Amino acid sequence: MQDALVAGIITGNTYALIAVGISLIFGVADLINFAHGSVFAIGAMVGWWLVAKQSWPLWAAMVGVVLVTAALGLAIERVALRPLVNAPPIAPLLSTVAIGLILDRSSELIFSPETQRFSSKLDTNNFSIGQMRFGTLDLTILGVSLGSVAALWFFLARARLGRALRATAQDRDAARQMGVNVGAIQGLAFAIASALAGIGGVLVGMYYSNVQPSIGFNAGIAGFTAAMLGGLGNLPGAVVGGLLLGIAESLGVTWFGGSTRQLISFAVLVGVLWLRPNGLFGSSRIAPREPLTGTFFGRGAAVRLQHWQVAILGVLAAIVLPLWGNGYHLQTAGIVVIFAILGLSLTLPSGTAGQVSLGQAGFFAIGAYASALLTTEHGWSFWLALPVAGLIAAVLGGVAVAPALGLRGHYVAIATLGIGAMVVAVILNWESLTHGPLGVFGIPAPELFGRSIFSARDYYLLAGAVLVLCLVLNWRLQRSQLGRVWRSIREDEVAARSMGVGLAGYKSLAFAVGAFVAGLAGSLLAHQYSFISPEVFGFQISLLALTIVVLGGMSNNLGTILGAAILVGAPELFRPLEDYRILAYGLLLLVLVRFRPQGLLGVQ
Amino acid sequence: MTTLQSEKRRDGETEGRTVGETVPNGLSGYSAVASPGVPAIGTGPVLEVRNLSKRFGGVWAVDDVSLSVLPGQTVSIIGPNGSGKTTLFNLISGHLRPDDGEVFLLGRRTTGHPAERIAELGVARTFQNGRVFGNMTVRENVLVGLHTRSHAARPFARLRHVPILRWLSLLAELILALVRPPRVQQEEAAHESEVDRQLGRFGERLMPRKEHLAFSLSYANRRRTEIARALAMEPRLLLLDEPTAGMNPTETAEVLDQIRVLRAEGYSILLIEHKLDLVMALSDHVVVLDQGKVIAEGPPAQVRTDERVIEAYLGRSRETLPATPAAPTPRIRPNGTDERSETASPSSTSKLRLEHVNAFYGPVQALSGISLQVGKGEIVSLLGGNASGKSTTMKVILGLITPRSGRVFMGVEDVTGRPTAERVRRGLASVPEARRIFPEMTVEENLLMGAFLRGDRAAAREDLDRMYTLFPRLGERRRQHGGTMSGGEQQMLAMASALMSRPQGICMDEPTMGLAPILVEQVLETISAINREGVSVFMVEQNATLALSIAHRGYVLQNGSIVLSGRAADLLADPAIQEAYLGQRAAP
Repeated sequence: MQDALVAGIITGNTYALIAVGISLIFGVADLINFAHGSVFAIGAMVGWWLVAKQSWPLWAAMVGVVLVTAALGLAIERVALRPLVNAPPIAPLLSTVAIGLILDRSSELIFSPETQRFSSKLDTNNFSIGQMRFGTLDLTILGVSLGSVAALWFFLARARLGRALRATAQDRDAARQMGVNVGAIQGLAFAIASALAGIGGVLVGMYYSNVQPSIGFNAGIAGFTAAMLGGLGNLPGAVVGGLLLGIAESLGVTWFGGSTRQLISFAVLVGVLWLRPNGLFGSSRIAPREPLTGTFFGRGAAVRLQHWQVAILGVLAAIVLPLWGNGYHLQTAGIVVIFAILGLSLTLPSGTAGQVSLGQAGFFAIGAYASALLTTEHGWSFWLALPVAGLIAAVLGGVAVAPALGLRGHYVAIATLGIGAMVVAVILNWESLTHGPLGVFGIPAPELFGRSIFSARDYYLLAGAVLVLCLVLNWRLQRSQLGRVWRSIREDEVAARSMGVGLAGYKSLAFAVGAFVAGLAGSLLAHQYSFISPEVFGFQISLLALTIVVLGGMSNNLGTILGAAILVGAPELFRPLEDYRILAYGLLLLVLVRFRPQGLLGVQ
Repeated sequence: MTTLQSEKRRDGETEGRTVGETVPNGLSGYSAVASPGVPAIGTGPVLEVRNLSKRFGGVWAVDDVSLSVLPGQTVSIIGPNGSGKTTLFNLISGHLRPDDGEVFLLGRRTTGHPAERIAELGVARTFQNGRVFGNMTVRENVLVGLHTRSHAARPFARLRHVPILRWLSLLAELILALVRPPRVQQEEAAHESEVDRQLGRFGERLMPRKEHLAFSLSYANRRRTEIARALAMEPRLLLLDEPTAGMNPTETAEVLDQIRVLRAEGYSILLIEHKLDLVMALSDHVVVLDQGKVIAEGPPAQVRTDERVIEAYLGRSRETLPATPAAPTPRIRPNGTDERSETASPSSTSKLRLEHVNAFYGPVQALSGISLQVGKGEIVSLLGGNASGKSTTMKVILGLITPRSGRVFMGVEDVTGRPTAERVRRGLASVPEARRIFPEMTVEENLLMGAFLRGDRAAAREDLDRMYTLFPRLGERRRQHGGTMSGGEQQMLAMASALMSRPQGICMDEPTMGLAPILVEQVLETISAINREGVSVFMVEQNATLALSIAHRGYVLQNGSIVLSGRAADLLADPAIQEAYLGQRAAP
C-alpha cells in the first residue's frame, strides 16, 4: 500500500512532466498536441541509446535528450502548425496525429521495436522510512522531475521571454501589439514542452528499467488525462493532475491487477471530459474553453463521378475481380472491403455530422466480439449474429459517446479516443465474458445453403454485399432531412440550435448509426480471421479508419472505398514495403491535411 | 391555435392585401400542429422580458432590462457598441442563461430553456455575422429552417423532451428517413415549394443561386439566405440582429422593403440595427440600450430627438467646448474634394500615413480607399458609428492585418506588410481595444510587457517608477493581477504599458468605451498629458464629442470610407457628423 503510494508519486511526477507540456502548448497555441506522447517515447529511446549504447554518463544523456526533443518540438511546430494557421482547427490536430505516427514508426525502424533493457545503475532499494522503501533511483526521478517543473515555473515567472510566453497565452493579439514575435514564442513553447516530455521519457525508462518505441501512446493518454484533470492550460493544475492520476493508477494496480492501469487512465479521461471539462480547478458551469467551433475542412465542390463511371467500377469490383482475380487478390480485396465498411462507419458521424472520432476501433471491437461470442458460445448462425452484432454496437455506441456530446472540436477527438480505448480496455479486463488477452478462437465461417463460405472469393462477395447495403444506408440518410440536420450541426452548432435542432440527440444518433456499421465490419472481420483478441483493435485501427475517410473525402462514400483501397489494398500488394506502411500512413495524412484537406474526392 | 394566428394577423394588418397570399401560414395544416400546448393568448405580448440581467466577469452586460413585443409589432433595439444588444438576443433565444430576470414567450415562461426548445416555440433569429451553413446549398439552408415544421418525418413530438423515451422519436425519425413513406415524401414536396416561396421574397437575388453553396455567396446574399431560413420556421417572433450590416445603401433599401412586407404580413419582429434611418422607418417602438441598461424608449420620432440617445451615441458634450453648433466652415470638406490641402498643412511632418488603403475580411470589404495621416505631436481622432471600419483601420496601422492594396508609412519608411514587432521597434505603441491587458499577470508584469522590445533594462526600471508616479493607483497595486482591477484602472494600465516602450506615437482603440463619466474625464486628461510630452496620438473613438474635445484633427468613417475630415473644432460644430452616426434626419 505504502509502496504503491511511492510508486504512484513517482509515476505521477513523470505524468506531470508530460501534462505540463500538453497544457503549455494548449495555452499558447490552442492545440492539443497528439504527437506529445511520441516525443516522450523518443526521449526514452534516445536516452537508452546514449546510456546503453554510447555509454554516456546519465547527466550527459539527459542533456542530449533535452536537445534532441527540444529540436523535435521546434520541428513539429514548424511542420504541423505554422503552415496551417488559416486552416480549419481540425487540420493541425490531424497533422500532429500524423506526426505522432511518423515518429513512433521511425523510432521503431531506428531502434527496433523490441523492448530494451535500460539500466540506470542506481540503487532502487537502499532507503526506508517506516515501512516505505525507496532508492536513489526514486530520489533522482523525483528530484529531476520536480527540478524541471520548478525551472519552468521560474522561467515563466521571472524571465522576459517567460513573461512573453504567458502574455501570448493570455492574449495573442495584445502580445503581438507589444512587439512579441508570437510565432517564435509558439516555437519556444513547443521546444520547452517537448524537452520536458523527453526528460519524462528517460525517467520512466529508468524507473521500469526497460524502454520500447511504442510506449508513447499510453504515456500520451496519461498526459492528456492529467492535463484535463488539472484543466487544460493550467500548469499547476497539470502537476496536481499528474500526481493524482499516478497515485490512482498505482493503487488501482495494487488492488485490481496490472491490466487495469490503462482502464483507469481512460476512465478518468472520459469521466473528466464528461463531468468537468474545465478540470478540477475550473468552474464546471462555464463552457469549456474550446479551441474550435465548426470542425470542418476545406471547402470545394466534391468530385462527382458519372453514373457510367460508377457502373464500370461496380462491374470491375463485382464481376471482373471475382471471376479473374487470383486467391491472393481476392483475399486482399476482402480485407479492403471490410476496412471500407469501417471507413463508411465514420462517414455519418465524422463526415456528415462533423464529430471527428478517434475511437472507431472500439465499436469495431464490440461488433467483432459480439458476433464471435454469439456464434462460438451460443451456437447462433452468422446470419443472425451479423445484424445483432451491429445492433449491439449501435446501442453501446450510442450510449458510450454520451461524454462527447456536449463537447466540440479537439475535445470530441480526445473524448472519442478515450471512449474507444476504454471499450478495448474493458474487453481486455472482462475475462469471464471475453477471455481477456487470450481472445476468441475458432470463429466459424458463415454458411449459406449448407455450404461454408470461406473461399476468398465467396467471402469477398459476402463482404461486398454488406458494403453495398452500408452504402445505400449512408446515401439514403445523407439525402434525407435527417442528413441535412446532421450537416447543419457540422457547419454551425449555434445556428443549428436556433433552427430547433437538439444537438445531443442527433449527435448520438449519428454515432449510433456509425457504430452499427462499424459493428457489421467487426463481425465480418471476426469471421474472416477466425481468431480475434483485444490487440487487433488498437488505436492504430481507429486512426486507419479516420485516415481512410480523410483520404477519400469526409462524407464522400465512394471516396471512402477508394481510401480503403489505397491505404489497405496497396500495402498488401506491396509486401516488401510492409515496414514502411505505417510511416506512409503518417506521411500521407500529413501531406493531405496540408495540400488537399478535402480529400481525393472532396467533401459531400 | 388558428384563432391566435388570425388575430395576430388582424393586429398587424396595416396595408391592404389579400389573405392567403402573404399570410405566413400559407401552407395550411402546419400551424394547427405547430406547437401543441402553447396557450391561446389573444393579444397578449408575443415576447415579454422582465428585469433581465446577465453578467460577464464583473461587468453587467445586460442590466435589468424589461421590454415587450406585441403581436404584429416591430420593436427595435439600438445602442452603441458593447451596449448589450446581442447579449440580450442571446438571452431571449436561449443561447445564454440569464443571471436574473425572466423571459415569457406567448405567455409561457421560457427563462433558461435551451435554444432548440425556444426555436420550437416559434422564435427564429438571424446572427450579426450571417451564420449560414457554408457547405450546404441555399436551398438546403432553408430546408434546415423547416426542421421544426417537419411533422411527418419527425414523429412522437411529445416524447422528444423525455429522457430515454426520446430515443423512440429519434429512431422513428431515422427509420422514416431510410424508408421515406409517401407521407414524408408529400411533406418534402411541400417543403420544397415553401423554400421557393421564401427565396422568392428576394427575387433575382437568391432564386438563381438556389443550388449554390452558401459559402460562395456574397455577404449580402448570405444575410438574405439567413433571413429566408429564419422565415421558413414560420416564427411567431423574428429576432433580426443587424440584418443590413455590411450592405451598401441599395441593398439596405431592399432589406427595408422586405421587412416592411414582413410587417404587413403580421410578423412580430425584434430588430437590432445601427442604421437609424432604417430603425426610424420601420419601428413601432424603439428601445435604447447603453452599458446594458435601457436609457430611453418610445416611438421612433421621440427617441430620435432624445438628448440621452444623442449623448449615448455621440457622447456627452464637455464644458470646454462651444455648445452651439455653427454653420459648417469651408475648412471641413467631404472626403476626396481636395487631397492636397491637408498633406501640405504646416504642422504635419507626418509620423504616420495611410495611402488609399483597401482591406477585406474574406469577401467583405472593410475599408475602401482610406487615406489619413498623423503629424508630429498631434492628437488625431478617427470617428464613426458601429462597424464603420475604425478598428480595422487601427489593425492595418499596427500590422495585425495586411491591406489588399494601399500603403502604410511610418515617417518616410514604407512599413506595409512589415511585422508588428518591427513597427513597435520603430516607436509605435498601442492601447488595444476593450482594455485588453493581460488579466493573469500583475500590474508590474503588464508594464514590463510594454517594455518588451527595449534593451535598456535599467532605464525601463526607471520608467516603471515614472509610471507609478504618473498613475499612483498602479503603484499601489503593482502586485495585483490586471484582471482583478476596475475598468478605469485597467485602462490606465493599458496606457501606462503603451508608454513603457517610449513610443513616438500611440494608437488607442476606443479608450473611453464602457467607462463611467468621471473615469472618462481622467482618461482624456491622461491622453492630453501624454500628448504634451510630445507623443503623437491616434485615437479611434465612437464617442465623437469626447474625442474631438481633445483632438487636433479628426476623420469620420462611414461604411469603410472617410466621409468627413478636418479640424476638431470645426468637425464638432458640423451637423453632418451627427448624420454620419445617426443617419439622415427623416424627411418631414
